[in-house]
Amino acid sequence: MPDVHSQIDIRSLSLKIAGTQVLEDISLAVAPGEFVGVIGPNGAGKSSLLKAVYGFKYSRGAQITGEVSVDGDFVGHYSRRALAQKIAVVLQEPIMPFELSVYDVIAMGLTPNKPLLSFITKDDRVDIMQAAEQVDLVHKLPQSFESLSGGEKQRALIARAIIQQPDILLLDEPTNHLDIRHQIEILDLVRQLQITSLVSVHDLNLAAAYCDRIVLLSKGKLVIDGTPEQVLTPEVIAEVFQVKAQVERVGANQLRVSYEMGGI
Amino acid sequence: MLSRKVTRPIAPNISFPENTNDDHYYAIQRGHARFAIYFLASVAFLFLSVFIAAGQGSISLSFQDVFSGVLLCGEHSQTCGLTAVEQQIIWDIRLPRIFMALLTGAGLSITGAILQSVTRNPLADPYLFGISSGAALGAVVAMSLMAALSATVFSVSVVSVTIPIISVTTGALLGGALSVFLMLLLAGKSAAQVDKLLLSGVAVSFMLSAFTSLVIYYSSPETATTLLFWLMGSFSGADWGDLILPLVIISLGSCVFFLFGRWLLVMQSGEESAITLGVPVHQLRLGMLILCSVITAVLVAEVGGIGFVGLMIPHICRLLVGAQIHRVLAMSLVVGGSFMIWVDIVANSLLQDQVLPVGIVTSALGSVFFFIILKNRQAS
Repeated sequence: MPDVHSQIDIRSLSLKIAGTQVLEDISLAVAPGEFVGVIGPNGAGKSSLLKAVYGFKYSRGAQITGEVSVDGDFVGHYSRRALAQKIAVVLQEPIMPFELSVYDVIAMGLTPNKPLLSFITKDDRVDIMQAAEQVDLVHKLPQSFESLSGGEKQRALIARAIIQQPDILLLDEPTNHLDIRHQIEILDLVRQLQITSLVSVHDLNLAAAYCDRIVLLSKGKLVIDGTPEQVLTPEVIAEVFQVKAQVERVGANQLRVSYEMGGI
Repeated sequence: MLSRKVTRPIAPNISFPENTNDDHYYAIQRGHARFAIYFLASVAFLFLSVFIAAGQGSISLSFQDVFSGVLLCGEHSQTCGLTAVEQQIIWDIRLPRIFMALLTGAGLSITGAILQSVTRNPLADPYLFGISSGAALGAVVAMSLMAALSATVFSVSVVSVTIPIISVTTGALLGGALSVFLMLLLAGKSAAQVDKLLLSGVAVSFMLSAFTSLVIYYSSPETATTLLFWLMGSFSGADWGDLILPLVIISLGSCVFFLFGRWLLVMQSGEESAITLGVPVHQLRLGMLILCSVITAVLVAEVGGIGFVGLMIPHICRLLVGAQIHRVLAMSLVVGGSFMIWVDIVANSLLQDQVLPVGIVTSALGSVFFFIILKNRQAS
């Protein structure tokens, strides 16, 4: 039976696509309100793990075993709409073929919670305004989404996720292609929302700074799952990322990972 | 199940839109106003176009004559300043023709807007998907069969004319269904991927066009001429009865499109994104494809092949009112209708004593339109 106390409960999940083992026997539980980072080298299976949580339908060639449950029920038991009411997903920047305004894009977040035949009410507009305020995009609402910078697009998508009023937020490399200031900005924002979050991150320092817990994947396997102190050790980093690194404690409870460059 | 959850206090100190000084809120409101203005102007222009078009033709009538002939006195009334013949020309020949043009333009444009939005491809239209080619093949087969089977009856009896019209429609519907079926079959398991679906649509389109040419090649010279002219598209010969089926189908279709507008809008942000927002993407796309093919088939059966409209009009509408799907759909109906009426006027008046097939005019305009888009892309 799924664990009723954890918001996300993954049990011995394996995924094989066209003969390649993408995920292998992964078990992971995320408690309500927890901010869990997923790290690992490229191709470690970070995105696949997130996809399993939001119930991505793979083509028939894929073999998936194990169980994924959300709020005490298997993901497969939810309808698409019911799942969308629970989980908001921020994927990497979409390309919009037609010029939609930022307002329209954020308003899409209303979809799972509103009947198909209904108008955007004054309450909805207030919600949209508040979400835009939350991500500091009110002044950009009437502009076209494509005119935004990478960081602003990411923020607009987070606002859309906020409108969805989810219990769980999944973010697939939200800081990709962003400069360091915007990376910090995005993670600060997600952290403030205090929603159960599963976030794949590339930068180990950012992962250490923002995550309650870190899950390290390598070649589809879960290598280690624990607090940043437990996961980010020079030994683990050397083994998984094949980089010599030093980890030092800065201030009260922050870690700093620095890498040795050029000498590997 | 659908009831709203209590709003999470995401930013408790902010109150919108009570904060009336906020320019950005008003910028959004201005977006609504802009749409309202463009839409009302387009509706007004459509009405104007109908009246202007009713005055055009071999017997030209003044705007006032048309106006009094249509609005002040009803059909077959003798109380206005028009002769009975003029009344008859307006009511029995010109108005059905104009409304057929209007319906064709509106139907093809809204179909194009839907196809573009479900495939996220600005170049999608009924022709690209092979729906038109399928419908044309079905109609051509039906017409040549009828010509072969009942050549004698066809030329003598007037009553038999009603039978061919029904058969052409069923032929077109079957052909349209065939094209969608073939497209899904070709795309196979990859039908979930839009680009594969589009490519198989193009393949089906070429294949069915080849069959159409084959049918024409093997027809008798008279039938071949008829078929070729029919394929180029025309509104002439339309009567009030012909309008019923297209009107019903387009009205129902538009209602469904507007109903699913919210989902269609979400699909523009990408398939994966739409799925995570709870939209049943694959079922929606299939349903829309089928509905679009029905609308296209019914129109092709009535007026023949008229290309580029479904592609051009949604583009123009998006330029005017933005990509918000409900707005694009509403504008496409109205602008598409007036556009087609004007194309018909041009096709009628370009050459002395001769009516150009409508398809030639739309294709010519379409190529110019593409050229303008290309120039704009290069500039920006």
